[in-house]
Amino acid sequence: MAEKLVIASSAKEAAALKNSKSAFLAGGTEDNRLNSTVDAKTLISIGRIADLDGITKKDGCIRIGAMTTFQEMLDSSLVPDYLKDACRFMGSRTKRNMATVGGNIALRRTDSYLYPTLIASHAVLELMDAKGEVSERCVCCYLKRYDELKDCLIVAVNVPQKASVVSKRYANTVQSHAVLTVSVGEVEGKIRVGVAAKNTALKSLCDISEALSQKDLSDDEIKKMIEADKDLRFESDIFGSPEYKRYLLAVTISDLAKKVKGGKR
Amino acid sequence: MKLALEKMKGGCYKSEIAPSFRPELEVIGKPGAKIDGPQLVSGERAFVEDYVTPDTCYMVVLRSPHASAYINSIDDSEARKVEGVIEILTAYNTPETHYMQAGQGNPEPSPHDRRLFNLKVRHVGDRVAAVIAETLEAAKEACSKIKVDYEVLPAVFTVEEAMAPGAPLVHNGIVEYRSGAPADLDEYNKKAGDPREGKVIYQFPLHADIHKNIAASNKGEIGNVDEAFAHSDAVVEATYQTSQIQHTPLETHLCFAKMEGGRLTVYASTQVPYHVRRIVGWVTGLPENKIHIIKTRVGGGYGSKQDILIEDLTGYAAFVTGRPVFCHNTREEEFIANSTRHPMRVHVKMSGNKDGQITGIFMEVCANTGPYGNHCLTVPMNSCSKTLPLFKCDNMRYDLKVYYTNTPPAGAYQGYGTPKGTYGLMMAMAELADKLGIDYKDMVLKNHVEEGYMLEILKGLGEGREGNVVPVGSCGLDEAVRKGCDMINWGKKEVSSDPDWKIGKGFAMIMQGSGLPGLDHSEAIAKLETDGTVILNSGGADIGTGLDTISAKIVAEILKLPMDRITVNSGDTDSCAFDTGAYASSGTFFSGNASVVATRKLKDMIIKEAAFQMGEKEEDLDVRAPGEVYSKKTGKTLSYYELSHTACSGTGHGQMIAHGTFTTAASSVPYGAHFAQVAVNTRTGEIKVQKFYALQDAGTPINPEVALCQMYGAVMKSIGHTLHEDMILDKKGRCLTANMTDYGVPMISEAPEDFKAVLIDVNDEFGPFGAKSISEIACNGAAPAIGIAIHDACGVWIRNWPMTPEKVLKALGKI
Amino acid sequence: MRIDCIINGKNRSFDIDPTMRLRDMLLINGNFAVRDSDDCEGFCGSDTVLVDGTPVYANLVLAGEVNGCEIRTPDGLGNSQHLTIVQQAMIDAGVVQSAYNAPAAALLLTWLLEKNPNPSKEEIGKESESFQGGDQGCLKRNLHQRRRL
Repeated sequence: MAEKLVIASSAKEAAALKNSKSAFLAGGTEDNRLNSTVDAKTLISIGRIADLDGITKKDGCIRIGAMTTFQEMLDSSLVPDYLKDACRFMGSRTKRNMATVGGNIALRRTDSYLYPTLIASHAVLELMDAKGEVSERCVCCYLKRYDELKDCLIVAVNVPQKASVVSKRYANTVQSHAVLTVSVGEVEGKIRVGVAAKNTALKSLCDISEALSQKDLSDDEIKKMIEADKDLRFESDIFGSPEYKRYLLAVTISDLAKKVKGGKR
Repeated sequence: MKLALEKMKGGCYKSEIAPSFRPELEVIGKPGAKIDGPQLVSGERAFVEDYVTPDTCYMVVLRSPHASAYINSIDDSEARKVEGVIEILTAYNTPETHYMQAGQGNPEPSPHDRRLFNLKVRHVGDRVAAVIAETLEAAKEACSKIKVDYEVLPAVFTVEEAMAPGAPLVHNGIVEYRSGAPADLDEYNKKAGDPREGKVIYQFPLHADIHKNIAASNKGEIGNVDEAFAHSDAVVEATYQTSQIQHTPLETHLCFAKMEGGRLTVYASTQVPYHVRRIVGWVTGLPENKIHIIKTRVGGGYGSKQDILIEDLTGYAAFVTGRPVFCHNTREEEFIANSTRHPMRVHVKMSGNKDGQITGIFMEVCANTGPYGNHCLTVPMNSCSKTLPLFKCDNMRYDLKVYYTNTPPAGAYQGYGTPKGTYGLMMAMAELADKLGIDYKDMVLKNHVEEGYMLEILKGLGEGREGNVVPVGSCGLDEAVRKGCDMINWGKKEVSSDPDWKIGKGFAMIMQGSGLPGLDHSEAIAKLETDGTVILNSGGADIGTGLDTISAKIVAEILKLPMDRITVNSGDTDSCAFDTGAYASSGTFFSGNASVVATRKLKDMIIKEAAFQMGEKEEDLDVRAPGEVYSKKTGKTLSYYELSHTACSGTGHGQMIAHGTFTTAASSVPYGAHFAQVAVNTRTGEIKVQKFYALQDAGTPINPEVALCQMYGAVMKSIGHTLHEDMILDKKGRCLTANMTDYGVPMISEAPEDFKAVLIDVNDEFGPFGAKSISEIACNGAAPAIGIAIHDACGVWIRNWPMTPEKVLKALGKI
Repeated sequence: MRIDCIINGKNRSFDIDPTMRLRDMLLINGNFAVRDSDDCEGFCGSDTVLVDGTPVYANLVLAGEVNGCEIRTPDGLGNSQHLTIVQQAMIDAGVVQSAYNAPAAALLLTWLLEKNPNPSKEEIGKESESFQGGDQGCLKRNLHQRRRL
C-alpha cells in the first residue's frame, strides 16, 4: 500500500508530480487490489480532473477521456460497439463503475480487457509529459516505447468511429483473468491483430496482420507464424499448456479474421 | 426484485414465491419469512466479527513455507520486542495434547494426529507460531520477525506418490489405540522415526498403516463380483479423478474468545458448537462447565465450519493470556490452511447384459486426506455408502484406501465424498450403456432401487461400526428420473446453428442421508413463558439453512401459536442441550425431530395443566389457534397466557418446560436426479451449461422457498467443481490459486441459461412432518450429468475434474 | 488529513490517513455491515457501498478520495423492525440464507430500482450478474432473483 495520497486538481499538476516512486490512481481497481502489480510510495489521484472526463466525437473519431469508466463507455451513445464488446469482458458491474480506460491502458496487463481491441482498431493515445506538453501516439507505439513514455499521463484515447473489429476473450470464469484475448480489426483496408496472452505477451501481431491484409491464411499457416514469433513463447501455468494456448490463438485469429473479412459481426 | 416491484406498485405480491405442500398443515410446507431474515438482511450485529470488543487483541499465525520439515528451533526474541505483543505461542510452550480438528461425534473416527503446534510441519501453510498482540499491525510485524530453523524433508502430494515404495512418510511417530489395539503394536512402534513426528492415536482401528502413508482403509463385498464380470455381455473399466477444491464461504474462518469470571467464552461461526466445546476443552484442559460456546450467525459453512480449525487456537490463546483474542483468516489461509474436499481417484469396473441389467460393480477409491486425518475414513466411505445403494445389483464390491500427503488439509465438504463416488458410478454406467448400445435412461430405470428394496450393501458401510441393513424407505427416485427426462426431452438431439457447437444431454441419480442413524443425537428444550409465548432452546446449529425457522414452524404447528410468539435460541452451549451439530444433512431430520419431541411433550404438559386448571378431563381438551386450550366437551377455553400465568403465580405447579431427545436407527434417504444440457465448442473446447434441472425428493419441504434456494446454491457449487474450480499446487506444494480470481469460483454468468429446481412430493415416515434433507444431496449430480452430456455432445469422456476446454480439446485430438 | 463526507444522510468528519481504505474508515464509523470476503480483491461484493450514487467496492477506494462525497452503506436501508420493500422481498424469496453479504445485495438492488423503476429481466440479470460471486449463498441469491424475473 502507498504511504501518501495526493489529490491532483489538474492534469498538468498530476503529470508534473509523476516519477519512478509514484503512480497515478485512476479507478483504483488495480492500484488498491490484493496482489496489485502497482508498487508506489505515492499515489496521485486523478479522479477529480475534469479534463480527463468526457466522450466526444470529431472527424470520424471518438475521443474518450482517460478517466472514463468502463460503465460510462457502455452507457455512451458515441462509443462504438466493438469497444463496448471489450468493456463487457469485465464481468463485474461494480468494477466497471470504477475501472477506467486510462487505467487499463497504463497497466499493460497481459490479461488486458481493452488492449487487443485498441490495437486492432488502431487507437491513438493523447499523452501529457512532465512539462505538460501533449503528444499523440498509437497504442502499439506506446507499448513499444513504454520505457520513455511511462511517466506520461494518459489524457485520452481516440478510436475510429467506424471500424470493423471483432474480439474474443477466453477465461475460466467471467471474473477470472483471461488466458487469451484476441482482436482482429480492419481500419482503412489494413488488418490488425491485437493479442493479450496471459503471462506471455501484449502486442500487435504485425506479421500476421500484414499477411492477413494481403490474403487469407489457413489455421496451420497462422500456427506456424505464431510459432515463429519470439514474443509468443508460451509456458505451462495455471492457465494451461503451451500447446493449448498456441492452438487457441491460431484458431481464434483464423475465425475472427474470417468474420472481419466477411463483414459479419 | 419482481416481488419488490409488485409490492411497490400493487401493495402486495402477485407471483407465487414457491409451491406449497401439505394443505392440512398451517405453516409447515408453506413459504414464509425466515425468522433470522430481518436481522441478516438489514446488516444488524449477527456474525462473530460484530461482537469483537475494542479491548480485543489480534492473533496472526506464522505458517510453514515448506510442505514437509522438522522444526529445529524457533527464535522469537526479536518478535517479542515489538510493541504491543502479548504472547507468542509455538510447539515449545503449548500442550502436547494430541487431538484432531474434525467436528465429529465422540469417540471420533478421525485419528488424533496433531497438536496445537507440531514440531514437524506437514504442508505449506501449517501452523508454526501464533502472535497475540494489541493490534493487528503489531501481530503481523512480530510474525515477520520470528526466525525458524527448518530441516526440510521430501514430500508427497498425490496418492500415487504416497503409495509408492519408499515414499517419504507424512506421519512416522508412535501409534496408540484407545481401543482395539493390534497385538503387534509394540513391534510396529519400533519403526517410529524422529520424536518430533509426534503421535497418531486411534479411538478404534481404522485399518491404517502410517508406514505406508495409509490413514484409513475399508473394503466389503456382497455377492460375487468376479463371477459377475466373467459372465456378463459387457464390462467397462475406467478411472475418474477429482480435484482439490475449497468451500470459499463468504465469511472466512474467524473466532473471538475471552475469559470472564474464570470461564472461557468463545464466539464461533460453527456447525458444531458442542464439538467445539469438547475440543477447546481438550486443548485448554478446562472442563465443559467452564466453557461457553456462542454460535453466532454463520456466513457460509458447507462443511468447512464442521471442523474446529481456528477455535482451538483462539480459545487457547484467550485462556493463556487472559485477554480477549480475535483471529480472522485471510482468503489465502482459507485455501492453504483450512480444509478442502478430499481429492479422490475412483476406479470403477461395471458389467451388464444386453437387456440393460447391471450385473456387477466394483469401486476402488483412493482418497487424499492431506497432512492430517480429518474425516479420513468417513468421507471416502460416503463415496460408496451414498452411491452403491442406488443400484439393485446383487454383486458389488468396494475397496477404499485413504492416504496421507503434504497437500493443504482435507476435511468435510457438502456432499461428503458422495459427489465423487456418484461421478465415478454414473459415468461408468453411461459408458456401459454406450458399450452395450442401449439407452442410458432405460438402464437407469431398470437398475435403480425402489421402496422396500433391502440394502444388503450397507452392512459393511457403517461409520467405523457395522452398518444397519435396512429397506429403502420413501423414495422419489423413479419420479425424479421420469419427470426430468420429460422436462429435458430426453432422446431428442438438439442441433446448434453454429456447426462448431455440439449439444448433448446427461443426467445422474443422486442420494444422500438425513443424518447418521445410531450416531447423531439432538436435543431441544421448549419453555412456555409466563405470558404464554414459547422459547425453544435448540441444540441444532442453523448455518443459514433455515433450521431455526424449521424449529419455530414445528412449535407453531403443534401448539397452534402465531410465529411471532415463538423464539428459537440455538447453538448456545450454556442454555441449549447437546446436539451433534449440523452435518451429514442432519439438521432438519435430527434437530427438527428433537424440536418435535420437545414441543409434543410441552403440549402434553399444557393439556395436563389445563385439565387441572379448567377442571376438565385431558382427553376432552386440545389446543387451537391463536394459542389456547379449548374443551371439546364444554366449549370452555383457556389461553396459554392465563394458563402459564396461573402456573407461575406462586401457588401454581410452576413453569412448563419440556425436554426432547431424538436418536433413531431409522434412515430417511433423500433421492433425486439432476439433468444437464451442455453445448461444447469442438473448435475451442468451450463448454456451456445450457440447461440444468435439479429434481429432488426432500420429503416435506418445511421451508419450500429456502429449500429451492439451497438446491440452486448447491448446484452452482457443484458446477464450479465440475468445470472451473481447482487448487493447483506447484512442485513444492504451494497453492498457485489461493485467491478468488485465480481459483475460479463460478459467477452468475456461469449459471445455466435455463435453471430449474423441482421438489418431488414424497412424504417420509420418520422425518419431522415427513421432511428429509435437501442441500448436501444437491452437490452430487452436476459432475456426472455434465460429463455424460459432454460425451453425448461430442463423443469424449472427460474423466477428471475440472472439465476444462483444454481437456476437451485433448480428448478430441485437437492438441 | 481531514475528510468530510455524508454517510447515510449524516455529516461526518474524520481525521485519518488518506491512504486508509474506505471500508476501514466506515468501520470506524460503525458501518460494520460493509464486510470483506476477498481481502480487497474486488470480487465478492461484500464491501459494496454507494459513493455519490454509484456502487463501488469500499476496499478499492481510498478514504482521501471520498472527501466531500455522499456515501450510502447497507445498514443505511431499513432496520430489522422496519424493513424496506426490497429487504422484505429478499427474505420472502428465500434468498437470505447465510447472508454474509445480503445487506450489500439489498443495497445494490435498492440502487438498481432507484435508478430504474422498471428494469427489464435482462437488466436485472446484468446488474446482479456482475455483483457477487464466491459463495453459494450469494449465488443462490442472484440466481433466484434472476429466476423470479
